[in-house]
Amino acid sequence: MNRNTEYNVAITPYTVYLAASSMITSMGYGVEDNVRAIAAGLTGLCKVENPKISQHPMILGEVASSVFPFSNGKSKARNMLTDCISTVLTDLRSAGIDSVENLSFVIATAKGSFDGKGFEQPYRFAEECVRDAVSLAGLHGEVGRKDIIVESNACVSGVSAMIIGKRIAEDNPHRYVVVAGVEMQENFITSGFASFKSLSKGFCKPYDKARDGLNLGEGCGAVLLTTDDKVAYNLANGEEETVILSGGAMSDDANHLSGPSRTGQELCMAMQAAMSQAGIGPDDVSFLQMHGTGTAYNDDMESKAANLAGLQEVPCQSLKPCFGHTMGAAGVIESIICAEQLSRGELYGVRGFCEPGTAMPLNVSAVNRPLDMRTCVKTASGFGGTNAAIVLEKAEFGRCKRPDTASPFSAECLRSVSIADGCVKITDALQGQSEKVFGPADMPFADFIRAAHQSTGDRNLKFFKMDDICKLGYITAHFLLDGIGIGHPENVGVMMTGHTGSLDTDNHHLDNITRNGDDMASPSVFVYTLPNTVGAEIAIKYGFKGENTFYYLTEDNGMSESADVKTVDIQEYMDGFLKLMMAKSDLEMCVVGVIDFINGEYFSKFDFLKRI
Amino acid sequence: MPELIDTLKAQVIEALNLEEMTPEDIDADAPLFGDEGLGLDSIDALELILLLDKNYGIKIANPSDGKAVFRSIRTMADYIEANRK
Repeated sequence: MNRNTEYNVAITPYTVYLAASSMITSMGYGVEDNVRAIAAGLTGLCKVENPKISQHPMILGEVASSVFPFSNGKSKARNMLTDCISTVLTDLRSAGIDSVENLSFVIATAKGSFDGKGFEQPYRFAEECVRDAVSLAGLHGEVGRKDIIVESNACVSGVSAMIIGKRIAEDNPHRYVVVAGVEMQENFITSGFASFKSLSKGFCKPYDKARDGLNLGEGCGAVLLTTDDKVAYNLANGEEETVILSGGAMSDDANHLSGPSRTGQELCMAMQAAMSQAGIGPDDVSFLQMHGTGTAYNDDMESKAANLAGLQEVPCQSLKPCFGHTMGAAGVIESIICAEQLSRGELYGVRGFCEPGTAMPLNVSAVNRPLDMRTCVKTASGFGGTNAAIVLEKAEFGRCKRPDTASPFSAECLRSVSIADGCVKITDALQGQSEKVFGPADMPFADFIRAAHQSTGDRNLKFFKMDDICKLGYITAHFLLDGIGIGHPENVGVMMTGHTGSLDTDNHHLDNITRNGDDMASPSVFVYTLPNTVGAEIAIKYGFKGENTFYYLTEDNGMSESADVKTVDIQEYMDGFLKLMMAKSDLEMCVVGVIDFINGEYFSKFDFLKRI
Repeated sequence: MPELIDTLKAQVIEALNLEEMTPEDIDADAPLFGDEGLGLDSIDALELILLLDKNYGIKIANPSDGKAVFRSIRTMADYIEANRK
């Protein structure tokens, strides 16, 4: 089977417009209400005493029922996501597009929908919200699963979703992509952050000397990205008001699962790559909005990154004092506010900021003021060491910068490894044949993976602290990469997909806090309740600093061929969508894989791709 | 106190997934963190805070307060003796 796939990737693709947006947050329903509240210096954070959210009262940005009432028995996440998507689809329809042809969806969430007992399978949850929203908006046609991407990249999910949406949209002049991020808060998440001692005792104070931690929040945001400029101008009430998404890039610290990079170098890399894609330099940036959670380490790291990128003088902002940290939704909600500031010519201050207190200087102020706007850089950073940066620009500055050219992209698969049924098999590109390199070992997973680990001679003590799916990924990566010369690990990325994600560990954490209370949450368990930790552990081991992402599939997507619109062939997904992501990045090499683990059952298949 | 030290060593091994280690392998006075130590990191420090709460009812609110307490098994044992409920 010829595994080499080719694309023609437009080097200077069609301009991608932010044509419509919607949001539901603790500050209000709808973009207008939210902007008005921020401009008035308000916050959605308050002391929340709700045992379904946290065992102890905490300052949190809760979406109150007065802001968004619903009574259909479905989760808050489901209701918010369906509502936000249908709002932008209704806008799309009002601009004359009434079918789902050329329409795709990128949904971002860290944990997704909690229905009181556990999490709904994230792909299914997102897919059903998309279908309900399409129906509510009255669009014709059925959305294929190939057009629904569900990703979970911890706190950068929202910004990475914007980047993925741009990549999908930009090669075609009449393409529409809805990007949405959603997160709801409940004991699972709040207990975990409490165990990390990373919550503020009061209101978060990003970049401030007195900062002592973050506040959690919940909410949803959706945007309509499109290359159809007529639709964009129509929805924005004219060309002058439109904002475009002109650059985006991701990176990974490859340092530690919960502690950020000490240097900020990797976030700087993402910022610079995004700016380079947009064709701008530091002097063109009107304001910078970073993640700004208000923890000691995050804000210090960001200050270093901003200085390395030459952005230390640029007005710098965090919206966490308004919304709290809305995790998977943050990147979308906050990008919408960036776009609103650009088109309104207003910069909002950092609520509560008094005194600078970051390792390197930043230009932060609490004051709202008018500002001449041209572009902004928006970033996020998250568990697993992920970073994402985008450039938003007023359309009048950003369009028609470069001539339209296309460049062929090609990648070859150097090696494949699969682990299943007690066996590790390798397929080498040159030989083309499979070889069993470990096993068969008819024993429970714990013993199997320990034996496989021993056979590698690896002496990394951190292996034993990993959860089972990360151990599986770590061992698969070992056999995949053993003996392969990698000249520039900083240009290697990791893209994972799977059905179960971190479900096995989720159950462990949930079981623990249900039986023993939120206070007994274990940080070393909680840190693995994000599916992107699989890729992160691989990145840490090998120093891979390229983009590191996790995409969900649903359990009825298989490895065999199917022409059904509702089934995604996983190998095709890896050879198709994931390779498109690699084509659009600067990655020289990439680990691409599918991985699943639940209740002792396991499967992994990784390919190592090289750009040629 | 020697009994507490032995118990504590076993509890630390379990809580931190220090596979292939036995209580005999841990010197009660050796540093837990840092290069000469067991290679523990920030998440391990948080787990030790949880261990103190779960097993001995002692709460440490600030991770930075934990630095002195978790220097070695012995300093942990001393702290527990002084503060246990």
